[in-house]
Amino acid sequence: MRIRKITLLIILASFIAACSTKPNGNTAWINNRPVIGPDYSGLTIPINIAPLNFTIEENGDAFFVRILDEKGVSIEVSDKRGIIKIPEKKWKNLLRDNKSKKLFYQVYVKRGGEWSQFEPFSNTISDSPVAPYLYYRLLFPGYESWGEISIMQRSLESFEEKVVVQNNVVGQNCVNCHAVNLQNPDNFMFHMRGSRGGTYFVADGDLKKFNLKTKEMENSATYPRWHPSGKYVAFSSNKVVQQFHSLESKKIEVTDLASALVLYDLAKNEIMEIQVNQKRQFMDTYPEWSPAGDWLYFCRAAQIEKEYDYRDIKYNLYRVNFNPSNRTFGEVEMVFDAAALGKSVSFPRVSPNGKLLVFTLHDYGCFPVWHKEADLYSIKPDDFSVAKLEVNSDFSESYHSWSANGRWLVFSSKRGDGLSARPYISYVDENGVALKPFVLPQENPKFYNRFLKTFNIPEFAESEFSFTPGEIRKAARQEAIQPKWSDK
Amino acid sequence: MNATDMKINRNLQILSWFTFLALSTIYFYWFAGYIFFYQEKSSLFLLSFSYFAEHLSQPGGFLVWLAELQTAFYFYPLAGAFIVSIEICICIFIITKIGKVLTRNTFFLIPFLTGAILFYLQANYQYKALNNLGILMQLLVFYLVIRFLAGKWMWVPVSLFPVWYFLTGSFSTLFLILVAFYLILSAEKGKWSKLIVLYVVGAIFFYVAQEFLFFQTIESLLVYPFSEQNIGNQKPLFITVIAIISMLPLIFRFHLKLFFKIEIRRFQIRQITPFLVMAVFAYLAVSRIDKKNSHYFHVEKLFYEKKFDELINYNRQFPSINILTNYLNNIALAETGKLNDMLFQFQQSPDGGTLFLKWELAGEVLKRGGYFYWSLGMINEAQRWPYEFMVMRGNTPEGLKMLIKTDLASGNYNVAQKYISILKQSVFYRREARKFEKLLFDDTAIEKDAELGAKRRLKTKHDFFVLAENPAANLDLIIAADSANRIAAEYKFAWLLLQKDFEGVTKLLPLLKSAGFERIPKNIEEAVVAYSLLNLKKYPEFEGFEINPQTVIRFNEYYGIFQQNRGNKQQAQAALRDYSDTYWYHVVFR
Repeated sequence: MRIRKITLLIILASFIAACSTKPNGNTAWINNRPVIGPDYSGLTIPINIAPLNFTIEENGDAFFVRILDEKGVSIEVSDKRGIIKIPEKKWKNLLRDNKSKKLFYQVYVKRGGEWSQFEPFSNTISDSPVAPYLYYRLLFPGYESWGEISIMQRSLESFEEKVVVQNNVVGQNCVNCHAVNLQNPDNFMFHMRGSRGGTYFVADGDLKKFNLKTKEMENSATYPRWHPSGKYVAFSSNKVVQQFHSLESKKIEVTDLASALVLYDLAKNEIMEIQVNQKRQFMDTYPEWSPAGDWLYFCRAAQIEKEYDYRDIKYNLYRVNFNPSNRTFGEVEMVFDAAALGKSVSFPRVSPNGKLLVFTLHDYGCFPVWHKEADLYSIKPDDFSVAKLEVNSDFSESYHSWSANGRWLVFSSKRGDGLSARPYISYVDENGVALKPFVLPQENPKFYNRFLKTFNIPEFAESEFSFTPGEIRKAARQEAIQPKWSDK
Repeated sequence: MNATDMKINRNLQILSWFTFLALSTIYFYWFAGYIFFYQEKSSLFLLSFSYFAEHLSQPGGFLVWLAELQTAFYFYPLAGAFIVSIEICICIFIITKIGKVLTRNTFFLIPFLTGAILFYLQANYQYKALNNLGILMQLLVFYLVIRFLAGKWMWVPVSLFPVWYFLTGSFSTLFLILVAFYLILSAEKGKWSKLIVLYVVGAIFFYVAQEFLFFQTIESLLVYPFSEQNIGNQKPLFITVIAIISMLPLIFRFHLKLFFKIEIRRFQIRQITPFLVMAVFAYLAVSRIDKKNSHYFHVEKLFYEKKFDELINYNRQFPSINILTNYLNNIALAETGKLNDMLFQFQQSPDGGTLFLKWELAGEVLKRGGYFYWSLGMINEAQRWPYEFMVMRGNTPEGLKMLIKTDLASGNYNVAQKYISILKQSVFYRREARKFEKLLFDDTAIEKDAELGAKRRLKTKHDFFVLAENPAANLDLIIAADSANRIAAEYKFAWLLLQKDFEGVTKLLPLLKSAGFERIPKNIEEAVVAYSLLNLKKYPEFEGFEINPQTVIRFNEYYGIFQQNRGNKQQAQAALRDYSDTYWYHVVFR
């Protein structure tokens, strides 16, 4: 009887050992780093970021990961399929206790009953926190039609995501370009197209609808940028055409046929032309303010004729001085001559300290989202020196935006599959060098493998906000407020 | 009622249910199987938590999810026929039971009349599964409530009504009305307070839902998932059946006693009502068989299965005037290299509607228009149509497969992989998904694949902007870049023939050689012969091709008959009936 019990215990122990989810005793060594997805290795990460969950894309019967700090404190995670979901609370504690230090990742794989360890990798924890929230528009990277379009708010400190605005609430209208002023959602706006169309502003905590097209304007207000004072919003007013390529490399071509800059004065409810192009020789678009609000940057190309080749449209980067007290603009100055390099500029974004301006550089036109060659570059407004950022890929990088502390840059990249953009976050050091970016972490690390929608215009925000469906409906039902046109 | 009567009753009841089930299954399987084909191809159910969660974003989404699960099984038409039939039979059964609970009598007329109407509604190919399923769920829950809950337990359904609204959306209104009638007519203690609380709870929840919870329009929150399109635009009949069901407590309370006393020999008339109702509806159902749609969906099925020769033969055997049928038939002809041999054997639309579809975001055109471009090797455009459809209306099996195929042919393997992972979550398309998966990141395998390899080789050689509003214009752009694209050449000639452009056809003859034709296709030859003989011009010379003397003889015969009857077009048309598959006949009579 006793022998039988001992035998059973031995069998049980062997079984438990065989099923062990953790390496015990000797492990073999693998002379390379594990392939993980998303690639969360060799990064500088914010101290307040949500767990960087990942999958181990190696063959194996079981996987084990130990995340260690320099003192040897660790988090251990095991999974048979290699899906590594890091416990949130332990992760937060580990980051909090290791400001400006490194985390080391030991990855083990079990094959044929034997455990092996890969070469470890590490990440550095920055002491600069990233903004707690990220706003983006979720939509299918489609061409003409749309289904459900939402502006979402995602906590960067957890995986919580919630709807800020969704088009279905007013019946399949299209929600597009949104803008937050200085990461402060009290100054928030978005456009809506369709039966309830208009530009919606948060004003005094309420959502209000405006019609920013006056009879004096040839086209509607399109791409917005808030003046840092929150008193003005600069828009480009564009006439756009889109065409479809027959070859697969670039599916869609969006071209401006005309564009100009306008300024909307919220306090006076006035809209005026930014008088930098009175002879209509140019197409001006993508306005951007300097942090002090004294410079307006924008992209400019020569006005196209009736017969044009879309590949010849090249935008350069310009700026003009602005006096907010009397709404006057000075002389236009070229900042970067992209055309001289056979290139075109779009999406200028100045860092909060004003020392760096990041823009997208691509072959032609002003809609780089579909341009595989579109990359991020920086220019120093002091000396106009240009550098390519070390965050680019073989696919489109665009729609970048700064965190309030100027240490984090978020941008949309199509590097995953060439079709859907994902938000990538990069640490930018005091010399303006952007380090290896990482994709917005998700609770399920396989999320991006199946998710078809694109993350459009990601912007950091310092606080959270959202509208109830009732508030949006109420605003949508209102008669749009019509600003007056001003010649001064 | 004595024991014998009860036995007869029970036996008749069982017999009538089984008869209904059998007849309904036979009807839907043999005569209306296209319903299941259409509906199954209209949505793609996915076995994943995220797909389920997506459906919970608005009230009624759960019912839609269940209905989509049911629709997935329409993959097998027999399963579809059985499921919809059993669903209707269960409705009949539950209504009978409700009658029994309310009156202690067994009723036949109302249950079978309701079942017959549901059956009749279902015979429309656009009548979606969610309708009968929604009705069934309301009936079932109402029956359970009145059968098992009374007194203070009645507060349970009253207080849980918001949950029921969330799960079944607008269909829960049916439950609300049923309960209201039931409470009003019952002797239930505290019935008025329950009724008031039920409506107040419902109203409060609706207010909270529309104000704070759901990003939907108020109309959508009230109506979803019901829609006129989802009931096949059979609004009057649908409202009738809903009215009958919602007033069941009232109807059973005030049933026609006299009617139930009428007897024919030993049988009370009420006992044979199921058979009378079935007979009437069987007659109506036969008249409902939609031959046009049955024909079209059979063609579409053959098209998806790539059985092009079978498709062409079927259309020859059963000619159709449906534009979409002939559009798919023309693609089958082009893919098999017969377009300009057999173009006029089928009804053609002079504006080119049977050759290519014009871009249109509304309707079902988006679902099918891309196949023309896929046939031509315009892969970007072949993808844009199903992609836009997917954005607006969600995934469909064939749409998703086209997205996969276009991305595989283009070498966009990362995107194709995503679509494949979605297809792998389906119930009945996993095998196809695995087949596609084997082609990922393997250019050699793609080249070897009969369909994908051919389309990759046909890919447009130079970039241009697609002219979706003018599909014919794209043909010139493709041919200018690649005159070896045989399918583009087939379509270009077909377009010129339809336009009655003799000269254009004749001038374009050198394209035959570069596109790899070994002989002049019949309809092109007819155009060339007519052009040359009528204009007293020599046949154009082009290397390697000869005009068949038989065509010349045939044209002369045709022309002779035509001249004899030229004074009377109708007479001429009748006399030339044997030439109806020729270009000459098309020019004069179409």
